[in-house]
Amino acid sequence: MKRIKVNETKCAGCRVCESFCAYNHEKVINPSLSRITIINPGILEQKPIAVVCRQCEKPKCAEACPTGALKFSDEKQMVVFNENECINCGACAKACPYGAITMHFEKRIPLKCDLCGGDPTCVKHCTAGAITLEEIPDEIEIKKKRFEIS
Amino acid sequence: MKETNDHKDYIEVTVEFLSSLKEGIGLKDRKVKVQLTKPYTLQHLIEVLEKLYPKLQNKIKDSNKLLPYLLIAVNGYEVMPGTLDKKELSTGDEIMISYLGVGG
Amino acid sequence: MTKYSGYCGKFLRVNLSKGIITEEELPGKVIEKYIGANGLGAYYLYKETEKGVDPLGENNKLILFTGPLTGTIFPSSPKIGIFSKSPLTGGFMDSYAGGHFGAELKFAGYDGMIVEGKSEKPVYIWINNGEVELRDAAEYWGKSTTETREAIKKEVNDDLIRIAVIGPAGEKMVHYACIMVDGTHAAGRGGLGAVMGSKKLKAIAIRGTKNSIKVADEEKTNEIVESIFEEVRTNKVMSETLPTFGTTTATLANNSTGILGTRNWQTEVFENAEDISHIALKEQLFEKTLSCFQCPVRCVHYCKIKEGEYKGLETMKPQYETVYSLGSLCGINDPKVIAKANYICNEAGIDTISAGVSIAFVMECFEKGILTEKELEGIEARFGNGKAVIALLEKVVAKEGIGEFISLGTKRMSEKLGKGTEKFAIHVKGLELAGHSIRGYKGMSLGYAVSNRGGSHQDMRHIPERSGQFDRRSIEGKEQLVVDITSTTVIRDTFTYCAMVEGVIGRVGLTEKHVNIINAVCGFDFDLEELKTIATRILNLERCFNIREGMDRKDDTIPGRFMTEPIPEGPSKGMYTPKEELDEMLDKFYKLRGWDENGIPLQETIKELGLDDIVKDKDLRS
Repeated sequence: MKRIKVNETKCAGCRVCESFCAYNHEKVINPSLSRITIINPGILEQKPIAVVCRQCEKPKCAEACPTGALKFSDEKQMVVFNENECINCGACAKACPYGAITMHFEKRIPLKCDLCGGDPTCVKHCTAGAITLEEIPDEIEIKKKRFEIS
Repeated sequence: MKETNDHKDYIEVTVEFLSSLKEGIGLKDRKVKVQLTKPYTLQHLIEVLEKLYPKLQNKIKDSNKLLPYLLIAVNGYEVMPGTLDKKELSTGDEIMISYLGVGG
Repeated sequence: MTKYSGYCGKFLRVNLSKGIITEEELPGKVIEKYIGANGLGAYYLYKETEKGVDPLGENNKLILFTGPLTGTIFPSSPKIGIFSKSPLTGGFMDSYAGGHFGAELKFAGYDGMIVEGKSEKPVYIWINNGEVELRDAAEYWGKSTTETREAIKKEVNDDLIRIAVIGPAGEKMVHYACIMVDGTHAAGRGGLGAVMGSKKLKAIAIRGTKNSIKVADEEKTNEIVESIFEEVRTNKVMSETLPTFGTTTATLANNSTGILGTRNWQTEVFENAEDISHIALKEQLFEKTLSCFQCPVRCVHYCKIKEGEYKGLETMKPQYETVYSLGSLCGINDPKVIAKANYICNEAGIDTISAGVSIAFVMECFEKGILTEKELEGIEARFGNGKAVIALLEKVVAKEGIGEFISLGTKRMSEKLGKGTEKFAIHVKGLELAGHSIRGYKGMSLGYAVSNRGGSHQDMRHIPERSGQFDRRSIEGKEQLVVDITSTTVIRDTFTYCAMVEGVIGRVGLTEKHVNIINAVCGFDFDLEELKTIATRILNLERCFNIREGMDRKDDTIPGRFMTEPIPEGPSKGMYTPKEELDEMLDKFYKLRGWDENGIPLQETIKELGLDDIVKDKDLRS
């Protein structure tokens, strides 16, 4: 499966990814409409950490969704969102343990990374080369399988 | 005493790579001594440097033309872009190559 | 709401005397005439303050404005412009800080704010999207910039808010106190932190999540933005030098051409430049590369001192200007001392340039016997003495004893001392000189002299003369060069994009590039001539502010040292700018600008620029 990975050693915290994500999806610039968020916890903001959808094979957001608007697609190998089925309840955002989903403050639909259809704008515009689109499996599911945790 | 150009078959100059020009071209020190045969011009020196350090070309040229933001100074004097073939060098000259556009 | 994109269309007015906060519309007519940050700051400051206003009094205003590019996808435009009458120069001051604060303000819904009056008790402004309030800051008064920032984050329970804050030096109104923005950045110059301190305003904190910014012409904007991103990826300075070394590569480049300010500009070659080179800083200090909002260039460095007396100390940058002012100018050859000094400045909130130049001045006075060790309270202020630099800085930020004297800045110190010290008090109009030679560039001689801010390197730029394209040793055509370059720097500060990308957009004269950017993002219909007029209008309005305050030709000057003492050694040996040369350049420059021989804008100039609605005849007559 394809996932966005962020090398935080390289990340300079510029949030170009946030601007382009919002712009690409919503036609406006506002980091709170971005699917990717850079958190700067250091007192000098020196330790940027990225929060972005990890495309879980067994997604908690889909589990919580009462209508099936969110689900892991075997065909696309990612978690997909169908706006037509969304009832704006926000259960997905609450359920995601990674904080990767927030709600659009006007439309009340989840802001869910769709990998820009395969060519993510965040990856394209990261001049630090910190954000990459990688072909990698869900490591959590691999570990759970090995240690027989269901 | 500075030697004149006529005494030898070559002259020896010092070249200093500033800014990030030294990075990745295989140089240990920022300053190198270079022997230059005729013509003793800055233009020829650049050609010699490109041969000595093949990775330098990519750092100073784009489409075979010197980058517009390259700063070359001889003994502290900036050389006007486009006049490198006219700038004569002699033994002991200090050439500084840097990028422009930084410094606050 | 304005019809133009890139704007929120409104700003805040915060009256600290009355405790009243209101929203005001940013009128379309004002936008069309002044566009953004620098333009709006000049307009409102001129209009809303009176001649002779006390910079640290109730009637001075502190004005903040973003530019229309801030908060859009346009790269490297994070700046917040801060404007006021300067306690250091007594004239117009603008200073710009990067970080995320400017964009956050727009995402909260405001293009800027005008802070007026004076609070009785320490307060801070809390902007939570559309809800704005004054909050008690008594418990933060006296705290460092970092302590305050961290405490406010806790108080409002959001780690990602953006904060502009003053430190103890601003509270004590050190004349060159700065405003620290987001911990890493500073609206450094001209004592704006002292103005904030005089108003008892400790901080401005913002949470902006609800306002979205649009661009007018997406297709054209995308095209321009993508081309700049491509340039950032391929240009060696932006993709390589700045992320690796920040701006500090200038130290050696300037030294090797003999124009590195050393020991209070007694010379311009520093024998220990190697020790404070970009390479030394990278090895000894730099840990990680960081960046401002929406900036793909990445020129900021997080530093941690790895060994020695200051081991473990964490700070940001220092950038070239600080390496110059607190390094070579004080004869310091230890990057760790520079980092420690940088830390003190950032935490207490003072401008590293003015601080370093002020200390270098004191050092020269000490070595010449004008200030004694006793007067300096036992500090042996010799050039090269790192301990002395740190000790003096600590006194400055506490404004104690001799520190109170040094906190006045070089101009006032030399006025108090006399004894010929004016000659080596390194300032223009009271603002201490940045790290780009006056004597080493004839164009900079003129540029510094006529800068409305004073000794700033951000009005006239040195780079075009540096490149060899314009002969730095000749005064020929320099009046036109100053006009051309300052037209781009004022537009840079108006739009606002950062100096780090000005090379891509163009440094010498406005072009269609500038026009295309602003038209695409905002939906204006400007042509090149109109944009040139706007640039000239803003520069003239700043000038009129200074004229109204009593400045004229006599203030368009440079320190005596640079007019009488040639550079004593090195590749630029012999260079200086005698008064006759400066006068010749000034005469030509004034003519070109449409000013009289005393440097006062002519009535017809004022009219042509459409400034006669706010600049009155009497403002320009003393």
